[in-house]
Amino acid sequence: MAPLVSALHLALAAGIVLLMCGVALGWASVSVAKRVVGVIVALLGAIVGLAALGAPQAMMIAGAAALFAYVTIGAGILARLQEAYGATDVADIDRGDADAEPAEPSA
Amino acid sequence: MIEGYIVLLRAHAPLLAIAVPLAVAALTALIASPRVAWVVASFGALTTAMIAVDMAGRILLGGTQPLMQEGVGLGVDAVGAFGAAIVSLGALLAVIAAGATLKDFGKAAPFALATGLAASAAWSGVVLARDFVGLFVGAQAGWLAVAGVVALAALRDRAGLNGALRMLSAGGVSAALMLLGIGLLATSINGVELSVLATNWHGAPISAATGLALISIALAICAAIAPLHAWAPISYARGGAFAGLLIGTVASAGALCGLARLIAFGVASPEVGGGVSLALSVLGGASVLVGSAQAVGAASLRRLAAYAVAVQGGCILLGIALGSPAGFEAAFVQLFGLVASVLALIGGAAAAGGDTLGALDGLGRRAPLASVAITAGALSLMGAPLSIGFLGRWRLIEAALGVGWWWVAAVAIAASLAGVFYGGRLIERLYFRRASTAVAASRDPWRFALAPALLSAIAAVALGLQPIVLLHAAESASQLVLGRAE
Amino acid sequence: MTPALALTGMFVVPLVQAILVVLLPRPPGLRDVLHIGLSLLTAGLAVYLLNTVAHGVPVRVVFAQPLPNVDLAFSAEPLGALVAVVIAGLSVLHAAHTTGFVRATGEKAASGLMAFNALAAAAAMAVAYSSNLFTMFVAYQALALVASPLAARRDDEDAGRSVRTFLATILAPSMGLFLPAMVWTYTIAGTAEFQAGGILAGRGLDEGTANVLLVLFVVGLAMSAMPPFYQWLSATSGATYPSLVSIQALAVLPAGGLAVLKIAAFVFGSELNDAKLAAHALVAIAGVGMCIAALIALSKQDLRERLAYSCMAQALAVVMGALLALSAGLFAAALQIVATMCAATTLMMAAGTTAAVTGRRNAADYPGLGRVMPWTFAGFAVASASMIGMPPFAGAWAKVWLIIAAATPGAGLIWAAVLIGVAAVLTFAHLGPLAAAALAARAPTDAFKRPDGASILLATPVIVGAAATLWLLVLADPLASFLSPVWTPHP
Repeated sequence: MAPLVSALHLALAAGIVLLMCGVALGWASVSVAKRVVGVIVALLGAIVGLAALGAPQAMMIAGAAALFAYVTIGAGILARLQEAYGATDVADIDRGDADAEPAEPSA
Repeated sequence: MIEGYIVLLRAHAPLLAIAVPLAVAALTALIASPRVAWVVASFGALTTAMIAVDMAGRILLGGTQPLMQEGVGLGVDAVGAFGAAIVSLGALLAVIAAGATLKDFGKAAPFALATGLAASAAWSGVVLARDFVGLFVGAQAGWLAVAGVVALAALRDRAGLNGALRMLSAGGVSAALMLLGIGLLATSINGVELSVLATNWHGAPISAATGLALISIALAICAAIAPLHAWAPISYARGGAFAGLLIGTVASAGALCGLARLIAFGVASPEVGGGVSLALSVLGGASVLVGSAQAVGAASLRRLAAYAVAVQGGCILLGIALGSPAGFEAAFVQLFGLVASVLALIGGAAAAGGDTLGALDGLGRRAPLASVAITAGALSLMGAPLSIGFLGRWRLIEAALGVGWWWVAAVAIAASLAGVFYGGRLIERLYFRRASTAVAASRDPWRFALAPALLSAIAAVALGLQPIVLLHAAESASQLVLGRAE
Repeated sequence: MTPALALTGMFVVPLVQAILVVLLPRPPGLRDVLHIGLSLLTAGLAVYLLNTVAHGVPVRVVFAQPLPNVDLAFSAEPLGALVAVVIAGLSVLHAAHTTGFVRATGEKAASGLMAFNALAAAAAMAVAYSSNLFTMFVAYQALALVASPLAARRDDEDAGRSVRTFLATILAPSMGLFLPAMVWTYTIAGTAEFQAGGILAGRGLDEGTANVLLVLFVVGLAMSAMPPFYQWLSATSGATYPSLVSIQALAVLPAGGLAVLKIAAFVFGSELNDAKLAAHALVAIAGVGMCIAALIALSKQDLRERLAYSCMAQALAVVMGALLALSAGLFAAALQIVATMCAATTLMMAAGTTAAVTGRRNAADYPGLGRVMPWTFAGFAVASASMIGMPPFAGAWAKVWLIIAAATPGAGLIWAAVLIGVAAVLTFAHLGPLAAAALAARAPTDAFKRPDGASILLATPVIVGAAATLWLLVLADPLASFLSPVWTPHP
């Protein structure tokens, strides 16, 4: 019985590590593609964690559905960003936006 | 006969509050003409709002027992009823106000309206969900729908895509955290039903509390609580006025209500209550201070609104963190104030055709009604007396002093003080500056679209003057929710 | 006519007045008649209310109940009713003077000026009639908001900065200091309703709390020009004269002093004895501030700036009187408010008349003007004498009572009495020679911009204001007995 428990613990730990890596990547990466990948990794990690915890199947299905939605929408936005800005670097995109934002007269 | 139908409809009100906007959204997306689609969407939103408000009225004011609907995973408690009413009213006014900016979306306007309605259905689902699966699905669907509206704004301003990207990555992070949190919570309390939370704390309080914390952080990201609001400024500023309204009135309000529902169970538990309220209050206080500092230096009206939402959201968290009925009541009043101010500020500016602060210069002469709406929103944010914002702040300070949390009262005062500066700056621009020649030729607003902003402005002042109904609703919501959780 | 209706009318009539004046800018004659006539109506209502209070009839009107147990309510008690009568009465003169001023100077946005003057007076009267802390807070904020357009009326392009300073230095302290003090008081006393003797008295407050509350209240009321938040006064000193009358003489500054007085009398009462440390510190700040303000006034050449600092010195005397924790101090403060309002309004209107018809703004240009404008400068001289506290003018009574109150063994603040004396001497230095030179020096040859001189609308209000200042002199004793309920606690 004991080895099974530790395997589950390992899986949970792996899930949490994946999730944390994904969160870090998705929240702060400089590349748009990496952000989308980070989100996917984080969701995958969460689903692994759910499985390890023995959470109800409905939760895992819901998680998988969310993962699918984020992948498709993320891919769509990635493509549109590439078209619109010709860049996939968050800093480049921000610079382009800042230039386009109407200048404010100083207060 | 008709009474029979009404009884039947009322019995299924929670389901209808979600199904009606979804059905109307599908219909709206099929219509080609933006104006016709707008009319249809407005009627759909109106019907939904009537259903939700009626439901809230019956539960909060009429003494009807909160109902659990079998078979569809929905259950209305007091917070849910209050939240569904606010979300659907916010969606109604946002959809009507969108009339002024429909041309931003071009031919995709029906699609944008449909997505907005879907978002409101999904966030209503969050506040009406009976189990964590519904909560998760609702939050994700609602979030992606709002992100979709932000992305659609790229038809006019490509920066909308940037906002959508930020929302996507923030939403993905929040989804993953929420998922893991639900897993932890569900296994430690032995079930996915929210109601189990109230009773089954004793099994594994630490992992349950961790799960609760993860879900709270996920919802705080969606509610744009500072410093977790990195996605918000650009999405508000560049995602178009409709998206800004939806984020503020539907997503933030829905997420905050969902949070309040969860925390009501958490703070009632002696094992983790202290920790939960401490963590929430720290987050709330940080949100107020960070949001205030950013709002004072905000560069555009909708960025200012984003930061002001963080401030108001922080005050709401502080009220929830107090854990007392008075604290919850303060939170509900502030939630109402948040929605009203966002509508008045963004709606007023959108109807007058100005997104930037510079466009507000001298608007008092050019568009007096829109200026009145913006002024009322700004006054409410300041917490000026006789506005709903003041009522919320007063209740918060009173509740904080009631449990001896002096620093929360100090933070609430700091929020008002900062509000004087950023709200005052808006008013100064409206009435004491001359328009620069560049903005003098602004477009003629589509008159009716101003109605929501004006309505919110009137509500912000009228409810500040005679808040009995709102206070009563908030009070019974807080007592029902805390009473059930005990 | 019921008293409650009259009290409601005190706010409705000025509101209607403001709306009508804006809606009917033409013909100017109609607008001016409406402006003066409705001011007169308001003054009549105020007198009626004063009479009602004198007969001991209680008057209270509840407009709304924005918070449980806290009403938005107005009531007439002796102090508020008296100050409101003075505000309403002087508003009639101010209205007439404003119409004369805009005609003489060809002011473009005259309707707005009149409307906001009416609203500012109404808001100041709302402070006077406020029945509880919350209502006073609302009226105070409303006054700041309606007076801000007046602060923006100036000849230069600096309107935005002026308004920002005005609003920030008034609203920020009221939100940051006054509001917490109000909520704190409410949680301690369980009520926010004003009552003679003080709602905090007898609640077993510890000294620390009492001291902190007093500082929060007094410093939070920036309209009293209490340092450190007095910058709004100098920021607005560039405004046109009709605005200045409202800001410095008739509405904003007196309302601040009155608010401090009401806090001292109705919130603290005998509890002030437990806040001695804070009260003495604040009295010291006010006293020193008074002398410094009078000194700064001496250094200013532009008459608007000189009068602004002069008024600030007078307003700080009110704060000193209110904080002495004695009924004599409260009476002195009440008398000081009334006397200063009459004198300062007269002075400002006289200076406004001078600026309108001669275009002269600097103290150095004044010598000899009294020869060509005898009536205006007679008023100027009477008002100056009252501001200085020269016997037998009304201001002298206030100063004498103040010095007596400070020096009585009960207060024991000899140094405060000395500061008041020094400030009076400094006030003499910056106003006395000015009035004397204007009346005594040789008349300038080209005094007037236009040959016809000051119109009757410009001169009469000054003369009537000066007459009122003189009349106050005989009223000191009746006023003392009329105001006595303010410092006599109910059983």
